[in-house]
Amino acid sequence: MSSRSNPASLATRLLAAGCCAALALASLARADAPSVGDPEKGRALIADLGCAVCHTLRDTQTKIRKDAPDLTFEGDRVRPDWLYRFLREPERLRPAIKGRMPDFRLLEPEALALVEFVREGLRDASATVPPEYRFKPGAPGAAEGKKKAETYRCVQCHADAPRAPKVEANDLAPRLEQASRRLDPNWLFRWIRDPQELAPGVTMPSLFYSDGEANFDGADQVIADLRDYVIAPGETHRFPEYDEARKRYPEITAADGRRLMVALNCAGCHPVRSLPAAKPLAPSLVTEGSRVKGAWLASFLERPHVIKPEYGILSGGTRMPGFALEPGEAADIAAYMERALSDAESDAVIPPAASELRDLRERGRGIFYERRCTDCHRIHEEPGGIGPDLTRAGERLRYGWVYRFVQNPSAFLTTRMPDLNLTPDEARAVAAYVLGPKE
Amino acid sequence: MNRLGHCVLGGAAVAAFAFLFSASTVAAGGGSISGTVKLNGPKPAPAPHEVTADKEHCGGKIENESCVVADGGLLKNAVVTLEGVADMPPAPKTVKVRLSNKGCRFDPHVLAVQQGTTLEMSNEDPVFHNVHITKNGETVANNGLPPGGGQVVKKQLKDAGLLDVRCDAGHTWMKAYIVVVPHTYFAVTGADGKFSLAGVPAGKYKLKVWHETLGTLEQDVEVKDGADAAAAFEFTAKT
Repeated sequence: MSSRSNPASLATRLLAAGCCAALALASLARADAPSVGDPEKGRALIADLGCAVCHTLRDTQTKIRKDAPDLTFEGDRVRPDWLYRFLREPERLRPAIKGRMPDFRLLEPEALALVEFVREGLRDASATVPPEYRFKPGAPGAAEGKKKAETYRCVQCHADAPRAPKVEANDLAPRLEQASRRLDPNWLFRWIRDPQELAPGVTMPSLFYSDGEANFDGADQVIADLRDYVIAPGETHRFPEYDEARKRYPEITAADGRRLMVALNCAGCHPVRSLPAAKPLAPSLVTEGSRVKGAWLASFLERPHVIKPEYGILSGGTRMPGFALEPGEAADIAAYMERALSDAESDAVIPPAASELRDLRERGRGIFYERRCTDCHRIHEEPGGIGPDLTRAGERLRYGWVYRFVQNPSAFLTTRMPDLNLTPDEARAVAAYVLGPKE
Repeated sequence: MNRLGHCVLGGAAVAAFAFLFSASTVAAGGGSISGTVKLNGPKPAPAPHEVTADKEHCGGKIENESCVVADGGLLKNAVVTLEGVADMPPAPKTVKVRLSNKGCRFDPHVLAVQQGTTLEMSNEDPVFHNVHITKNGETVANNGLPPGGGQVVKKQLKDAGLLDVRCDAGHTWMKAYIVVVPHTYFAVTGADGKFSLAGVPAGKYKLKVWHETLGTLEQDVEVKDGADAAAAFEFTAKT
């Protein structure tokens, strides 16, 4: 199979220019610094972030599906312009409450495709708002709603600094200051009416309806007043980028968004009734701690898109997202992976002695070019192809793993790398070359 | 929390039962079961709950109802149910039972109802309450009740099982239990520790008692037409 015939290789080549800039940043990955993180914290963080949704791990426990919101009603719930902006800048627009929506570095048409699918594909036609309580901008209910918000102690859970007195418990529910630009007013009416019906088991109690019946006469008017107070007519803000993107990419449809949601494994964290179940579509990490160096791993986790920019172009959109990790958090994860996700056989391989390295690398270089490894792997300015850039592989990979991998690639990874039938002796030389400095 | 330790069950309980024949007390075509539930050992004196929110209304302390025992070891709020009897069709929605928020406690503290019964929740306090009902940790209902006493919130209890009731509005001491039974043969013991089940079809059954801190006990019982079967449960307190 020639890499030239693979459509993905073109995309990779286009990216090659960007790689140079990326590599400059990759120098943050100091190869030999020991991992200083706390492995126990790393283990807990892996569970919180839900890494096991995409990667095969040894400890696959995660409660991410409880933390990430159910998207079944998302098309009714949020305004499309807000969603567009949120998908492109999740952490900046709405810092996580529990789970952490990662940043997929979505391109404009990708974010647009997701919004269009959420708007059209996740719309729930079954639930309706009575016509007299549909949102009309400038409706006079807000003042009344403010009084009702006090009666119903909304601020006991929803801290809302600009409008409410200081309260003690402010982590129980989202702040409402973003509600006016984020939430659809008609959906908000339905939500306040009976949150337990829309999301059974949610923390917010149902205050007005139970078993589909109003608790008292006039409940709908109170709900509408509260809604108007929360939405604050006149304060609504719009993000113009969404409309601009629609004009720029008129060919993007909801079907594109659906495909992308599958490729990004969104259903792995978010319950979405209309999507197929998530799959472990990322590399297995069961022996990752023996494959890569801890310091590189920590840098990668902090900025995966910079260090491995080919993600997102291969495999139809699947990519490693960024989780806005603090340096300490990335080090904790790396420390856990180094200790718990290791492979004793790779770790036991004895690296070549310093005295033989020079000759060994020279031999390895010969094998590398003779076997045309450069058709796929980039070294310095040589273009390479679908394989990872190996110019500075020594910062990333460990000797024992490379030595074993090049002898039998398919036993270690789901990879396009062919079996080269290298002898153990040749493998020593190739590993020494790959990990060494290259002229 | 440790203050509740006095009421923890220790070892196997002593159970005794006998058959008495008293044709005058039961309807034809069935029998009845009656008896008492006791706690052996020293009478517990649970420390009251410290009130940590809304003190101006709730006061400083609230009675701890986790193990209420009268003289002679008579145990209140134990739920006696008949096991091995065929399930009945659920009660219609019109069958109602009240659970009030009153004096910053749930009233009553323990309820047993037939499956299908509608729970009516109300708030008679001038503070906000919330009735959060769970079963095995999963929410069954979660209803907020504003102060003022005007509202009655209805929720039909459709599934059998043990329900846990809490108030999330800062009143961490508020607890109640609802046992939802798929038939009508159940009772909750009063302050005198007594219970009775009427109109039970003749046959051999298990009789079970559940208590929130003491756990469960079971014994065999045989019901004969027109007769009352006596049953007595005895929990043993840990010393």
